[in-house]
Amino acid sequence: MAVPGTDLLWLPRGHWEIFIATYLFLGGLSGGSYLTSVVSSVLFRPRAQGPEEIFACEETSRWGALIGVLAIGIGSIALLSHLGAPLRAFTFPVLFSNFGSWLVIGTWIIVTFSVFTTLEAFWLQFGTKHEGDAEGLSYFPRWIVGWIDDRLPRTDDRGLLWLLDTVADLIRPTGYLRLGVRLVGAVLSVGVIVYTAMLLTDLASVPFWNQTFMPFIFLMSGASTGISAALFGTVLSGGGTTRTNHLFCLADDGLIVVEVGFIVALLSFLNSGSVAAQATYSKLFGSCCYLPFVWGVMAFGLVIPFLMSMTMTGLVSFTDIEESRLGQFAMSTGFATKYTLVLLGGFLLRYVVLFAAVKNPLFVP
Amino acid sequence: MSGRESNADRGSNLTRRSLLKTTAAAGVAASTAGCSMPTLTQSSSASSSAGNGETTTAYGNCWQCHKLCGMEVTLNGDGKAEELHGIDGHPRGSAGEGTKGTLCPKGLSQLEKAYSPKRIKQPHIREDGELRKADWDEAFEYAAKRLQDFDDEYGAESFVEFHGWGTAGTFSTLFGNLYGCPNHVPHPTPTCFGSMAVTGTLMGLGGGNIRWIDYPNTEYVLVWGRDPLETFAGQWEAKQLLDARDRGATIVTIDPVYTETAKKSDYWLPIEPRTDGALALAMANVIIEKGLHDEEFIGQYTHGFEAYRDAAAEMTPEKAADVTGLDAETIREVATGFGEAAPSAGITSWTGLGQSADHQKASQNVVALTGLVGNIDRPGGQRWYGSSKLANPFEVGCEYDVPNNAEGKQCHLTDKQAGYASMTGKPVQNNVPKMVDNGDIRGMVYYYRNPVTDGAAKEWLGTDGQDGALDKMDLVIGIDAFWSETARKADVVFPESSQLEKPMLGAGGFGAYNTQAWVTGSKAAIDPQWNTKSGFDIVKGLGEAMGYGKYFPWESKEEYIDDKLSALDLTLEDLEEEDTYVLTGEYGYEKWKKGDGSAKFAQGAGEFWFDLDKKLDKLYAGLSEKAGTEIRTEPQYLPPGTLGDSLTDEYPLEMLDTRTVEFSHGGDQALAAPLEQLAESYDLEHEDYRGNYLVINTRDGDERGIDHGDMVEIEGKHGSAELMAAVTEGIRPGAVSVEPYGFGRGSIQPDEDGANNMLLNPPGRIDPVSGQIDRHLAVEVRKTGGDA
Amino acid sequence: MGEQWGFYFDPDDCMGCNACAIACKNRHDVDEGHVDWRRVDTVPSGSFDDYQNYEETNVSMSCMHCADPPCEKVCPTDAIQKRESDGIVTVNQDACIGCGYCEWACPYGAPQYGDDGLMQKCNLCLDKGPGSGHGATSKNEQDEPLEPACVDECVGGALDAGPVGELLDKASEEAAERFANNPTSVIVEPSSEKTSAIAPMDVGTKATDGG
Repeated sequence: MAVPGTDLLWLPRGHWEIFIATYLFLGGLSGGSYLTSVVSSVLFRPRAQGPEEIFACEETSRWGALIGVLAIGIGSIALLSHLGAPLRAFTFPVLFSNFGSWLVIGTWIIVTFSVFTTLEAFWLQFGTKHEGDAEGLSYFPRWIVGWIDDRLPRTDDRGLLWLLDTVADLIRPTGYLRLGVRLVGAVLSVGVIVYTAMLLTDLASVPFWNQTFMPFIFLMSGASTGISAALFGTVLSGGGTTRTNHLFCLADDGLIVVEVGFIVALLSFLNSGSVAAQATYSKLFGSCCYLPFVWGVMAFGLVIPFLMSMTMTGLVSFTDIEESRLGQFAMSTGFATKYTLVLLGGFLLRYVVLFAAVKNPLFVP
Repeated sequence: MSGRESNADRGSNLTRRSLLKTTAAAGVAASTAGCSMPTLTQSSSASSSAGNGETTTAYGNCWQCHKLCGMEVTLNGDGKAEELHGIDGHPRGSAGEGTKGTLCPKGLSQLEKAYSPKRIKQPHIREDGELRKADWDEAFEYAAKRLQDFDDEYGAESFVEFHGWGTAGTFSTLFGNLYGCPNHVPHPTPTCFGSMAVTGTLMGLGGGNIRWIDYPNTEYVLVWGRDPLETFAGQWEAKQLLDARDRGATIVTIDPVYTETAKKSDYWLPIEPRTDGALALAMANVIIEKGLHDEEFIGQYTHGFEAYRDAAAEMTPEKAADVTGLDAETIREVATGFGEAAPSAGITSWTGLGQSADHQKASQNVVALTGLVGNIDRPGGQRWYGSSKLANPFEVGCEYDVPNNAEGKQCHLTDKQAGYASMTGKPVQNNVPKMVDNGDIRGMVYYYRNPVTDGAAKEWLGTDGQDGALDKMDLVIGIDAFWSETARKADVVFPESSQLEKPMLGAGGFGAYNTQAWVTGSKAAIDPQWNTKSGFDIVKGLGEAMGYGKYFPWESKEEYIDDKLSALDLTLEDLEEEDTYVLTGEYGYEKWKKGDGSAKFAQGAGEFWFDLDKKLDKLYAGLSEKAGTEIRTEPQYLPPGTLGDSLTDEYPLEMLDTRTVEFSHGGDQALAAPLEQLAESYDLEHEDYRGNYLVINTRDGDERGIDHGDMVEIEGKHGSAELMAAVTEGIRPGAVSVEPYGFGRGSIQPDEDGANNMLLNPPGRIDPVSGQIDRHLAVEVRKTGGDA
Repeated sequence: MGEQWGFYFDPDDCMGCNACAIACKNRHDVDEGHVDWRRVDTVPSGSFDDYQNYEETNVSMSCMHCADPPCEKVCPTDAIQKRESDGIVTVNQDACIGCGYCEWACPYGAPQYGDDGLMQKCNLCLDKGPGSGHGATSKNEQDEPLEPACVDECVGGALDAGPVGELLDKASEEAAERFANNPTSVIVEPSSEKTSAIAPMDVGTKATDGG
């Protein structure tokens, strides 16, 4: 591709389009959700006081692990949809022989991580402890299984639900073992998030996918969207006014600030960098990506959620807005909206990372 | 450039062939008759029948730009053509003996054309207003009957024959000699480069010979209104031009557009369009002043030098620089270089100086330079290539004398009384729609031709609500390979086979061998696809249905070709054994010189004419009246707009034609692969558009808010068309160019992608002297913001 | 290691005609449409205001059969391999999953994708058809090695292919010098008007500084 008067031979971008953007987003989301689940289980739950807080913590844990499973599942489907030969991917243990490729490393990380998040989701969903009046929207898998049970021809009370509860109790570790499993899972979840960046930054051909900044941006974004997804569920279940939610929300704000910092640093680097770096910068602020980047990612995905969160935190801390039912509803809605915007911004970030990418051009003899 | 191999040696594995050597050089030239008898040597037969499960090779001669480059066709086990390659040493397809043969993107696309599902697969006839499929017998009978009825009602003189790039000379025999139609519109003059061709011939050079340079010996080349590295007339030309450059020859491109040739030139002179006449006169000025002109040639073999010299004296390089936008020093440099290298210096020119009323005089000024430096048919200068004469197949194979039933009939196209001809009596294609309106023409037959892209497109095709000439005619018969809008308006459509499907023959002529004549030919490489026939078989079948069967005794085109070759004692089989070509005789230079020291030039006179007073004084007097300014018979500079279109505030840009290597020579058949490559060459392949492009300078684009890839409309006083813009620095601001043939309305383009820029051409906008359609139009360009 | 093969290209002789691109498509039965094993580009330099120095350079490029191919590094299934026997980089279409990673990794845009979603690209005409190079006999040992279609039909004679050693014999000193420093198997002559050569980002390092 030649651009008038530039003396350079520009190359077309590769073809990672909406499916891959979805995959990268859901990968980061999945890892972040699981991480949120573990943090909630390990750090928050022991300190939770009062039934509302406990509920919020448990909801968060359950949602986090569940979204971890769902996101990685849907993300994998998105990925397979992109491949030219998706069925071959199922033979990956044998077929993916190039361990020098991040794609292979990442596949193993994801597969292993999937086991951990599936188990965690399973353990948090099923078991005798969770029988009976399961409160919390994150129990919807139980309701589905229960619904299935009602339609199965059975002679006794031991249906699918009983089976799952029994198995869950059987295989669920306790104590330090449980903690160990969660920690290993947490490490893997970070691996998944970072992998979605390393996949890109391993390529020297695209300056936008910069090895210094992009992994941190993705890490912050992955954790941030993970928190947002899990806590959105919690808010939906009624835990919006809890301290758990407020704290997670603030943690998210911290991540947002760091993320913005890294994005700004990356922009500055691009603006003063190679021709392709500068071309990327122009693209981000140009007709290609102005809307999704400036408005989608920066404004609605980061700055506005941050401001919303600060406002709500202020209101919660310094007023008695949460005393009234209306106030509670308003706050809950506010938090839900904030989390939604973060999720939207997270998706658009991956979109922009792919669509604004520019390959290094060639100099011409 | 140390250590680099010359262009011709690159590449390995040249195919071996035995090169026929000819005996003495008696008989080839434009002016001498007869030819030598070649000796044949046995060599391995290359072509064989397919279908036996093995890969085989067949031959062909490419007809995409109609220059016959030798083609090797790889057939798979089922006889399907899979690959095409050039033939080493071929007179059109290589740079000469021992050099590599190639095919260009057009030739390579013959593969696509042969198997394109878009081909017309079946004869069609119009019944109750609709075209329907018919079988051959029915179609022949129907056409014969319609032609008979037409003759009975209107007379064959109300019919017009358009012979384009058909490969059957019998087409003209059938419609001219036998049917008796006297109206024949040839391809070159009215549509292609008439303003230069007619002038070149009148002056004595020969209209076509302004194209041909003796490349192997040249030291200085003026590429003037032509782009041989884009529109080479066969692979040989591009290769030999590059070889000349590698040898150290100076190449100068004179063109408002930075063409492919400009990229490889030592100078690019981005001349203001239609000011070439000034540059040519200024060059003469310098050459004469420095005494670089050929006094001997001028003294002995020319007429009108005094008037020329006086005209040149007036046009100093400074004056020319003013008018052309070029630099006076550069003009001096180029003129001096050209003059010093002469006679081993040549000019190659074509449609760039041939398609405007204002170009007729400019052509005279340019052709005058050849006489000035005495390079006509001298080593390194303009070359008069010689051909061997082929036999008249009718004299050889047909026992009946072919009559001339057109004799004595009113020829509306060229008879002076009819009033439609040009001032030199040439057919004016742009007048045909008017002739239809006046009832003088009521029917036409065309063969591999599409007049609607040549000029007056609106008048041919009609616009909303108004019928065009094609609609108004009583009878339209077409021999064509693809469905163009013209074909869709016909009453009878005969689907023709493409080049791979039919035997080919040609003799020449211009090509790699600058002192040897040659003949080339090949059998059909594959069977006619679908239910198509070669043009030869179509004409024969139609002729038989019309009752002229006895004049077409040959069973096949191969038989017919063998009769033609009998003059050289060759057959088509022989040619195939020799990798499709045989050299048939040698010839020398200065063929205008006769044995007794006198001369005969292209117009039949004994002198080259700088001044056209001997033939055109009355014509120019008449032209002067028309133009309201004195137009003299000697070389003279006419500013743009004297006879042609003028730029105005409303239409401030000049639209001119360019060509692209994917579609040059107006084949008008835009195939998918070259369309894709064309889009890629402009970096616009990601757009959903596969048409032609309007090339416009960045500055002009910025003024109009036009970016690379925007859809734009070109509008002139007479009409408009829409296409995609390509913005570049490589064109003079003020000029815009369009690759014209094969796009937009009238063409075979799906959804008419692209622009037929002749929608802007009013029928009256022609060069009155030659009848050539004037394609230099004043336009404005606007962004349409439409979808591609 | 067998003799390594590569291409030679001289932009001075390239007329931008695209015969190479179409000849390649014909031989390997690649559809029309934007799947180009070989591609021709034109790069302009300068402006009309300085028209004496305005230039456009034509470049014909296919796979560069790099010494250390980035595509090979990132391919998850090792479908892409630079053969020891002749240095040609081939793709095993039976192992390719069509992930598109190689397309991003290639600094020259060589990987192309057919309707089947699998990668296909120039294999220096080891054999005909997408993926046909994989497992083919070494170009050094084939009885009748195919002359690459692009080389065969190059109208201007700008392209050549062969063992790199042989190509270097024909090349100018400057081209040979540059070749020693570049990571590809393509010897490129400098354009007679310019002094720089095709010089991509060094494919061995990662662009952390944007330089």
